[in-house]
Amino acid sequence: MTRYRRPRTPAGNPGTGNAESRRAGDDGKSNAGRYANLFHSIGVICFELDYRRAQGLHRKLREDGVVDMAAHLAANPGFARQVMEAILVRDANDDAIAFIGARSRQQIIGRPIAPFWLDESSEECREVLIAGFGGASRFQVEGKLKTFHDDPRHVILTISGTPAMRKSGIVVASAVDITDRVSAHTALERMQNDFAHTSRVSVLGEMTATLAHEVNQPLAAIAASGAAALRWLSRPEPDVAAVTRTIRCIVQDAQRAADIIARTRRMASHKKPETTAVDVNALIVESLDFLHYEIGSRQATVATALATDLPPTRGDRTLLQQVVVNLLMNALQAMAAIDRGTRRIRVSSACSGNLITVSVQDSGPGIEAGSRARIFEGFYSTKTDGMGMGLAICRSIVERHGGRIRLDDACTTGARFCFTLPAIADPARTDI
Amino acid sequence: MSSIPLVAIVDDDPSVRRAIVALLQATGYRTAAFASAEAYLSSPDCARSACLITDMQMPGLSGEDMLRALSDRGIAVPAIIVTARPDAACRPRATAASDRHVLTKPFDPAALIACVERVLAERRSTDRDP
Repeated sequence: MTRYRRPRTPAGNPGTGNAESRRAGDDGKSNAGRYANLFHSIGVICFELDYRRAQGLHRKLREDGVVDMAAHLAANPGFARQVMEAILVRDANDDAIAFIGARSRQQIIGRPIAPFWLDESSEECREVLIAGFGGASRFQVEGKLKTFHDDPRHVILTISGTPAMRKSGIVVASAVDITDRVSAHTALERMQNDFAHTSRVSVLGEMTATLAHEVNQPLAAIAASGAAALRWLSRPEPDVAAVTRTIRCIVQDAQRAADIIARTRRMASHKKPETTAVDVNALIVESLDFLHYEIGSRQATVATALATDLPPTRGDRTLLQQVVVNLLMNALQAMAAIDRGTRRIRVSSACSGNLITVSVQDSGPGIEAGSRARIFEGFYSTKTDGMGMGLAICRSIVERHGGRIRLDDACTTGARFCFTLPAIADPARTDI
Repeated sequence: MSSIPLVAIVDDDPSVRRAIVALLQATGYRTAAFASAEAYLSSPDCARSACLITDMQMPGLSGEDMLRALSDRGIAVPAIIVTARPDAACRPRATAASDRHVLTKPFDPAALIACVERVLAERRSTDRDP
């Protein structure tokens, strides 16, 4: 998929002609004309690159005993630039000239390709260099190139050359501009993050009263303990042991208040998601802590059945916690209509194969058959004051993490939501 | 029975319970603390306390339920309500405990002590002049 229109042939350039035929002739005389036609009319950005000086650099490295390009690059980061300066543009088709923003073919022919790389220390550039050194006949990488107008473009770059071409020091680099697709994807992700954040803030909004209640407990304790300590000190014979004990309580209570605020702030944060290894059981426990007062004030009881030795998953902690908190809040709200003593939530975690399953079950009236199919759709709510985004956001978060969320149809008492997340075997890996 | 009055504290929050106990002990009162209304109601201190400081919202029996249970048993212990949610404590209905004071968390410790003193003074005058 190319983004731009097929350009007009730049003035003063013949498009195809003897020069191209002659160059392509290196690959065999009978195919020269066909190759030149294809090169110029294929409709994909194509550069023909003079690779001879780079091959010279490679030869010299081998003579010096270098066998591992990755290690060599790590030790000599400047080598990447050296190679990119050594590779010259032999020819470029009209699409390539338009892509790079050159005024004419002459402007780039004979010039090194170094300025086209957005970042020579990038992973994609490293991969290209390693493949080139290894003599790969065809290599594909996704990365960023830079035009003459300093416009970064996201491309899928394919570098290929027949053995005969390589022998003559020629490779063809073709590129597909996927900038628009990438930015659409980025915009979509940003929108999902914004929605998730809005939903987190709206949960916090629903919890304002309980959060204030929760923070007021340690504050009340701190004030009373402080007054008690002063009274003990002002006695004719100050009770130092009692004062020490009381001040220790003050320190603990201040920490507790700080923890509540830190937890709330994490929930309200609007940062770019970060991928780390996440302990799902710890996430469940933290979510229950977060809703401790909400659960208490709604007179519900919670039972947990958490699997021991649960492997971690990989993902953004805040987003995954949001899924658990949303499901718990839904469960609490669903039970508002039933008797206080019968409001029960059961949270479980399990692992089977490479799949972690978390379920949240309530003892409420359950989801009506007519609503079941639509419950994960956006702007669909069974609550009179619901925004209808909670479960839709849960689904988008879970699916982004490679899992699935569903309503358990087999559950006959209340509603039971289950979601899966892929387990990771080695939490030290960061490349997933 | 000691001449120092016994003040009972019922709050499910351990920090608050502990701090109120410390404040009252530092002021010179005897204290008995309970984590739930049920625990207080089943304790012998229930009939012995000169004053009761209680939270309203607790798991299980609420503060209001507890006050009603006390009045049903004919125990007229004056109550001070300390709550983080004044709306929830708003003039608890249908309880017979007549001497009631409401403080909102976080409360001024001096105000709580003043409230306890007032309640105990009222109780003493009622005892003298039935």
